[in-house]
Amino acid sequence: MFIKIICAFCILTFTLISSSCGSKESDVLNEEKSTIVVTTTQLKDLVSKITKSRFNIVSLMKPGIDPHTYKPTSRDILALTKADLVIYHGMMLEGRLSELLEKAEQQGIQTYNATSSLKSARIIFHGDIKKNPQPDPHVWFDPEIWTTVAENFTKMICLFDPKGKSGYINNLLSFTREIEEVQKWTIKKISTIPTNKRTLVTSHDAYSYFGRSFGLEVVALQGISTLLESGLGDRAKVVDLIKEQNIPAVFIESSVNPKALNEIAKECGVSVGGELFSDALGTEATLSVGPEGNSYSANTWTGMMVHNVNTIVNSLGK
Amino acid sequence: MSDFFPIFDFIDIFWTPWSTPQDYIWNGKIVLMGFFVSASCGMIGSFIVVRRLALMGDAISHGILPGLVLAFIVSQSKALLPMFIGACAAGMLCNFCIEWLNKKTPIKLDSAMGLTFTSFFALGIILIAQFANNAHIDAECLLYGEIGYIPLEKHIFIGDFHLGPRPLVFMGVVLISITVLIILFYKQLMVTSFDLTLSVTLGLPVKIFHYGLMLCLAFTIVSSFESVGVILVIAMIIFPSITASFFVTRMPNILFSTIPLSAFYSIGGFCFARWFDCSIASAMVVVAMLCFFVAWLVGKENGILLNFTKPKTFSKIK
Repeated sequence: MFIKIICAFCILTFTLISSSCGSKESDVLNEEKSTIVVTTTQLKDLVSKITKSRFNIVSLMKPGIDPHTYKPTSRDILALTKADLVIYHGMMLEGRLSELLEKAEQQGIQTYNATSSLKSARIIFHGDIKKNPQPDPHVWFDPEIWTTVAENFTKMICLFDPKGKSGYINNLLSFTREIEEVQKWTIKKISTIPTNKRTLVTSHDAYSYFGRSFGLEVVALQGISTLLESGLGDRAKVVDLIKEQNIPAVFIESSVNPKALNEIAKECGVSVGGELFSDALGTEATLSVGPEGNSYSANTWTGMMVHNVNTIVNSLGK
Repeated sequence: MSDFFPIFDFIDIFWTPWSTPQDYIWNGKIVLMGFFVSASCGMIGSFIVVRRLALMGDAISHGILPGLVLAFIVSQSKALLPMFIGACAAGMLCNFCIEWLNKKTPIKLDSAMGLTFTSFFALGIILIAQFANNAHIDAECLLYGEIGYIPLEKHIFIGDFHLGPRPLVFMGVVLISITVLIILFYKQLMVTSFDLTLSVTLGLPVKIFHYGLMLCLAFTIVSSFESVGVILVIAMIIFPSITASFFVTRMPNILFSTIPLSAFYSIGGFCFARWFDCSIASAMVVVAMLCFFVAWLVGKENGILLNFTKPKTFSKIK
């Protein structure tokens, strides 16, 4: 007992002593730059594309992490306190963290909701539309909405850091051009899939925007959040649909447990078309060949789109 | 091995989280919350454990799910008060069922507990699927609250005086009320916990004290589960009194020991989480486990090192 009391006091005194004898900043952050903390990997790509190297950008979620079920580590929480600006996706993508960051101004943290100024006409709603509509947060799959998000962010960052304004606007232009290029390329690629085969079966309902933008029917095992398990009814519906429409392949996602979908694929005798990126981008090492034969790494929005489109077209377009 | 253990950087672990006043306030809230939860659970837990109801915490924390869902369906909101009443009511109902099964049927207490809380939990899951599918109430948010988000929670002000985040203030009040209640009813609690025959002879309302204690337990669990997660709560009901019982055997001493132990769990857990960069609540439980291990080795009452010559008759809490 007393040993532990002594231990507790030792730690307390250590912290006090060390706080009195000089400081050494061990975080490898460049002190002169301001720090922007972003929640998801998609936002990290967007913010770094537009601000280039004017800020330290810290992403709370790492590649392959599912934002719906993300749990912060001790260092993530410290990063939040150190941030000069926190950018989050909103629309409940980050679950409870979204909810809390909405009210975080009160705690002296400057936050920016990346999707707050989107027009609701462009947003897809799920659930009980009249009583309790749930916006689908996976807006990055619609190139037009993602362009709007980038534009809105640029407006905000120009006010936040007026010195970098001209740079931001130039970067925005090249980013939107890139998005446009990928959009055109995607439309061309998707058109090679026979029209009766344009059905995308995935683990969770992340591709509604993708389907709307590029004319694919989207079927998912789970709802827009990965939190709720799929019921047996959902499963049976998906199985029936695959058999009925003779769908050649289903797709697993990098941030969702693939078990259920693998089983369904086995049961229906269809192949697993490959792994798509849904709620998180990939790592730098994953390369895909996109517009004009350039290769893109999956840790960027463009690379993610190119990878997904290639995977889908390779399996469905046979 | 070196992959498993991150580098132990003393300054980074003990000093960086406390280096600026802002960090101090932010992390202080997390540590204080950990302390409040472990101390209140630990004190209630000391009585729960001697009554051989250690897993009642587990039972109640799962049994409240249908109460939460029903409260949501009735009030159509996630406001605090209806949720709180629903949860406490379901917790108590769970308790009555366990008691009834134990007294009126041949089923033993442990089986009665397991039977009741799993049924309640399953009922809750079905209720969610049926009525509150998109309500963002789910088993996940119930079982894995996040202590790291405490500083982001809504803050409470009295006039102009800044009191702190709501869950923290609330938990502080719970801790104080529990302490006061234990002091007021100490004798009665002792007698009803240790000598049932004597308390019946003395004419004490045994049932009222039992359900009073259970109500306190339900109250403590409900007020902490949302912000720290159920695993921490269940652990803290059991760990402090069990660890202390290796050094002291009398109830007052055990109750006093929960205070320094809780402080150590909380501070130690925070540092541990910083070292391993993991979730803070789980780190606190790991620290509690390590403390238990040390106590089991070197404790003067039943510790294996000091008592290995003695015959194996364990002295119980008196």
